Amino acid sequence: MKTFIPGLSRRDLFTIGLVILEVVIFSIVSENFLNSSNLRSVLRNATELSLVSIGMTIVILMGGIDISVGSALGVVAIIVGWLIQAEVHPLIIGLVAILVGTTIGFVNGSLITFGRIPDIIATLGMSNILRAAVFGMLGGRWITGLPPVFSPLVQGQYFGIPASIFVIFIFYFVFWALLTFLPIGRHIYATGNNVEAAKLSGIDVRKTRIVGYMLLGSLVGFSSLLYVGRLGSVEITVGIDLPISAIAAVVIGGASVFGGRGSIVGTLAGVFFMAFMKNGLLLLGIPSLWERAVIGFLIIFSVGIDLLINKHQAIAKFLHLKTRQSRVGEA
Amino acid sequence: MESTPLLQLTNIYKSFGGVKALSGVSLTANSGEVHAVVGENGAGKSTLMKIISGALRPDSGQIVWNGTEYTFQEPRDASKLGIAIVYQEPLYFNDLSVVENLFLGEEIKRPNGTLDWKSMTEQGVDALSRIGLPPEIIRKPMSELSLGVKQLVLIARAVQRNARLLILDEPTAILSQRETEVLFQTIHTLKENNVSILYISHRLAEIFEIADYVTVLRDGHVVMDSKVTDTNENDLINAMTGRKISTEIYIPRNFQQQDPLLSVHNLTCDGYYSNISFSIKPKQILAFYGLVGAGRSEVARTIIGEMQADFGEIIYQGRPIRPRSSRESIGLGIVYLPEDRRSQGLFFIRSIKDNISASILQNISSRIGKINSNLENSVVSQIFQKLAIKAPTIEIPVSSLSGGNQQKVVLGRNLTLKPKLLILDEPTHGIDVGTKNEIHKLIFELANQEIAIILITSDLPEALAIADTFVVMHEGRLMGILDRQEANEELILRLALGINGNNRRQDEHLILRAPLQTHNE
Repeated sequence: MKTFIPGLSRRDLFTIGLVILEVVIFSIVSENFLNSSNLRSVLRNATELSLVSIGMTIVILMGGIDISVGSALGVVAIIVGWLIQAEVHPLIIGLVAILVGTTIGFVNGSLITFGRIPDIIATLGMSNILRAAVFGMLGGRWITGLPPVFSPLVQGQYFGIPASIFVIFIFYFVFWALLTFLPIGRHIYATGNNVEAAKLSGIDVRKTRIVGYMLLGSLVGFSSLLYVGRLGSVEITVGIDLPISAIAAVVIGGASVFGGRGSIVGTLAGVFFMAFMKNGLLLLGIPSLWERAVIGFLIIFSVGIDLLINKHQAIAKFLHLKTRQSRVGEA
Repeated sequence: MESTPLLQLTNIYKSFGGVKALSGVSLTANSGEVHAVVGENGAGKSTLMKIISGALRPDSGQIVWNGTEYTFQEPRDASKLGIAIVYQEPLYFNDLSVVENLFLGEEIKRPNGTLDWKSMTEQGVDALSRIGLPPEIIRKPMSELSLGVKQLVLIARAVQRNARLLILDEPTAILSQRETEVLFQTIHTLKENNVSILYISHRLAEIFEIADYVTVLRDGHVVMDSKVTDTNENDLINAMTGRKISTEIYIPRNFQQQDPLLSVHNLTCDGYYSNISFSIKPKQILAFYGLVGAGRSEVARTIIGEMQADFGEIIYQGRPIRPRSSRESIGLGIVYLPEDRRSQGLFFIRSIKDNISASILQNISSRIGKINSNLENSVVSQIFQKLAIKAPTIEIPVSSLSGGNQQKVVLGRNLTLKPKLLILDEPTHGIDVGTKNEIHKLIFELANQEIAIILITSDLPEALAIADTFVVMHEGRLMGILDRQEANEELILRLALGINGNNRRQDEHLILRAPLQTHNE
């Protein structure tokens, strides 16, 4: 029997190619881009986005979407801030953060599966409720001057490698393995690809959906630790760009918004693309209001390209069909 | 006919991926006449109607309308000429009013570009009254009307557009007795107004009531074309059947000694089927035959738990079951191969391997929950080889396979579940002959391994070639259960058409009712 060789799909390679192209362009137009301190800061700032995008990939693979991740991260970050001020043991804070995040995911997932509320509506409502909670909990005053309890997760350096690289690598590896080697991973792909067939195959579609949202929630919870560790404060606008950035990273990474197709590796490339884009625009002195427009454009463009590609089978064959060894786990 | 016919089809051919749907069909429709088109499932009626209404283009052949040859690119071209079609499952807009439905797409506008509701209402009322509908429904939303009235509104829509040829596809299937009378009255009125009507129906009695001409299709050929007054019910049935049936592939098996694996008593689901009773033993192949809409798939979906019965019971391995989902029925060993493999069976963009192993991932995972890929590969490869799926490797996506091989993939997934009862819903629909034979052989092989098989099929020769027993349904009712010895094409078709034959099993079916009382509260 052939052994499993982890490989990349052509669509993944396409995204990676885009990132390389982007790096080349920014290196040419801005001399400050390609130096180690700038790249480190790009990575550091992209850590939360990286992790949340993993969860967003899972949800989008199931044909869903979650736009409440930013407000959810805000709520958890405030709780984390309070617990740090109360000098609770970091391990307990970490567990609480993951637990609260997972619970929010569970509520979203339940509204969608049992309440039959469309994903976008359920999470839009949730997003507003949690954003109000952020305002209420902060009461007009930001949490500032937090001791750097969680900073080692993002600021530190180990063996000369920035901590954020470790965090990103570990999480991507774990979730890649989950999507590739565990039944739940295949069930996620199957549910997104064809719900009816999944049901008739005996897959517990409802459980799969809820677990998917809970996985995303747990990642949001953990990311709030990174957020607090990175900034040492919680602002009122915490996580405001997170949902749109994560969705952009996922669709740039090649996931289909209709579900069933996408990969964790593609998403990682998508995250880097987004992070370099934000940084590059900043270095070029382009006003940050344009950043949002660019992200918005990228989402529409990526999905549009995806649809176009699917219409033209020849391109689709080139980009979507994996090389033979690499068919497990990604599409 | 001294005048030019309104519509003349000559030598129409149409095939879908190697499967011939129509071979050399010719048909003539005259103004002011009702022309019935009959035939079994898959005889080519729907394809023919779609070609006339412009929804499909023939591979070859001539369409002459009023003396001029036309090639329809799309339905709009046909409707411009005055060809209207009312489908068996009518298409309408539930949330719009009757008048909006009547004029949708062809609204009357005032010179300033706004909608002229006054004229539309007037003309709409006129169209409604012409077919005998009460004018006051004009402002009601479609959702408030019964299915039958909706159907009639769609006919009014065609009338309002001055259709010269009206195609009615099984119009009475969803109509009540009273509504059917209204429809027939309407048809008479339309005839007087020189409209030509193509009338498709399974109900032979109706044809003798309203049609002038009848054309019988069989396997894409016209086998009979006659004035209604020159024929009778028996001639029609003989024309519809009479195919060469190869029974050589049948392999007898001995299952008589065993206890039933599954028995169903008086199963009823309002609106779909009622009083269905039958039983099946291991090794037995039971064909469910009926025309489209007979309720066969619904019975199957109830057994697997995707639909819930209102009444009756299902006894499986000696005890009553009532599964709530296919997960539960799979746990019991009941596995279903869905009718529509594309929308209910396949994970289309995933590999053959992912598709086959999807049901058993938990069973082939290690204690920590990791899928054992060696085991997965060997399970999948075994099935891949056993079913002779034609593909270079198990890693290629199922989207690149032929229909027959896709079906084998879905069947392969079913087999990973080690079924005791396998329900195959139209397993060979739209599949080439070679693969079809392979699947038939496979069905025998599975039956020999103690699996009980329910074969739902609209393909009567297929049923006759491989089944031991035939359960025939008509419009939700059980018409009879026949043994292989007593079954023949004509008898089964009679039952499926709702014409009572000598179905002696009816009494047995009555006897089965007795134990029910004790089980049902």
